[in-house]
Amino acid sequence: MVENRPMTTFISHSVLIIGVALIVFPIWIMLVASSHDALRLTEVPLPLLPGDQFWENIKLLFSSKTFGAPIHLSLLNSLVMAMMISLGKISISVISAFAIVYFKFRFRMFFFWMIFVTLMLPVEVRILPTYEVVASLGMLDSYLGLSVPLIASATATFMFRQTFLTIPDELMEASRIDGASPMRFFFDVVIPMSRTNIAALFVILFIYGWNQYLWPLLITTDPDMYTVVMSIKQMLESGESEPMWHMIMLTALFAMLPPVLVVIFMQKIFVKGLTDSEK
Amino acid sequence: MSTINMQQLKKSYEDTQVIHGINIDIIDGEFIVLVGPSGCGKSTLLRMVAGLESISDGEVRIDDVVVNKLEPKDRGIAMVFQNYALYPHMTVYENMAYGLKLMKMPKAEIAQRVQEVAELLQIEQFLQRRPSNLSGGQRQRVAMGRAIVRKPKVFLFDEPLSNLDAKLRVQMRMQIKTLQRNLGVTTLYVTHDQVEAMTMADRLVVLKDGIAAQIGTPMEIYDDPHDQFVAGFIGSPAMNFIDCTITDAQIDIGGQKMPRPAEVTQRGAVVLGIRPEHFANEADKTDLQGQVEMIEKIGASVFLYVKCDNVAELIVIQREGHSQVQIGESVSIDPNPNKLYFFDKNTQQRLY
Repeated sequence: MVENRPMTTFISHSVLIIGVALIVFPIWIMLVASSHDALRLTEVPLPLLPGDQFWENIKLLFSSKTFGAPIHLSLLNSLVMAMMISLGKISISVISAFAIVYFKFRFRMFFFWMIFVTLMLPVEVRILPTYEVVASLGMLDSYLGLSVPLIASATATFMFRQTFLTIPDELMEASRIDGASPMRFFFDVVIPMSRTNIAALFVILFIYGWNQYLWPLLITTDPDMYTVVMSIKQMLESGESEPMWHMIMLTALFAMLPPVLVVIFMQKIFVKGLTDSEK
Repeated sequence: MSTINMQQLKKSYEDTQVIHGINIDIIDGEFIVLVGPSGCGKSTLLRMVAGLESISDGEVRIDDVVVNKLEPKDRGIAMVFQNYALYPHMTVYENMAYGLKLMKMPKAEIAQRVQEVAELLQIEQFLQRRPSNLSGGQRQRVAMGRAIVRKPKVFLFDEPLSNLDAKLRVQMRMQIKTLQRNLGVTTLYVTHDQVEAMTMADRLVVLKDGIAAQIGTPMEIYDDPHDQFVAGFIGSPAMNFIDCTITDAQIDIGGQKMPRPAEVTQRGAVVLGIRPEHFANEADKTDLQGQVEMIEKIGASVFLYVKCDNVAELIVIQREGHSQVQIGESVSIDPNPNKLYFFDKNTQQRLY
């Protein structure tokens, strides 16, 4: 519907602007807060313009251990966990989807539905048994413990299955005639043809992994294994003293950066992966 | 280069049998076209030779080696698919080189072979492009290039031209035929288009419901169809089939009479087949009459759709040149008495 009514334009733009403001304002406050000293943030009213303490705060944040775990360590922990989760999820689900789509074996549909059913069991539901398993395997306070239980992914398997179903059978037949073994076909044809989907999934899964909170909270007791999301929470509850809002905001800023960077750099390929149907 | 023999070839999917024992012997360098309506099993048969479908019973031999259990790559075949099946993420060069690369052929040799074939098919200028940047005809040529570059013993084509527009189809038809003759590679070609089948084949196999209804050169099949199905399938427009009764004196067509050819000894109800092109151009005999219901002018000739009393189907008659006949006009029908075909009403087998 192409219409040119000033009123409609005005209203729709207003709605959009309000929406943007709702999202941007907290981020702006975060930026502003991270550039003032601790004292200024306890005064009313809250500053709305950036101060001059930004670099000082950064130095302070990275040099001190007074705020729980060292911030660079928890950033690294988050990064490792998010990477392990997203890469692990992708490799496992891409290979299981390949098996389900291209091979005939007994109980194939049974396994597919088993995987599918686990969609209904998010981490939170199975958290206690999973904790028990991880604890008895001695994986508490380790990267493996942080990531392995989150790796199995029905969503990703299902998505790859759908992608593979759109690859014409003739390509598989052509590669058989060309003399490709199933795994060659997998690496030479299936993977390259799904690379945009893989990228899109990587973006989603990286953010998913990065933002994990409940699981790391359960599984880690050693501050050196804390993820950055946990650190923020930890800083809020730092005993009797006033919360260090400028440090907290700065940490939040750093916690936001990697997902934002991933989205920015992979956006093109991400959108392509979600919309591209040319095969 | 090689021969193909199929012996009592059968294929079943669970309970349904789709190929009912087919015997074909193909000699070296022959161009064989499998033709038939959709669902007749022609693609299945081709894919059984390719090794993409398992063989339920019987034998396929290529160069006298039974290949039933061999992987497609070990059968010495190359196949061109209907939708080309080019790898979309590879360039034309990579597409053509992929099979050779898997054979572990040295790079220099691959490059040389691809170059040769690309020149042959005039696709050198596209070698670095992706298939998505090519037109349908160009993709078609790349798909053929990928087949030729392997230097196979047998070419298999699965309706390769059906995604092309009419003009290109005619062009490619000739190119494929010429190419095949020059390379001398034994070829199995599947199509549902009877013009394609007639023009390209050394020998035709007309398939019907998983049975080879007739095997022969295009003209043998056109002149001497064994049954009503083959007669109706080959030739365009299709042969007219008219229910009639043969008496001692005459042939009775819906009340109208025409003389009985001497060699027809059968009496009773039969099906008379006459091709549209086998009617006299300007009929002066008035044995049979009918009313023109529709006219199709295609330039060189005119097709008259004629309604005769008590005959269910319209009879199609081809007239050369500019016919002045109008719709509704009464015309006389004068079939060439040497070109009459008679079929049994029940078995549909050819009688005369």
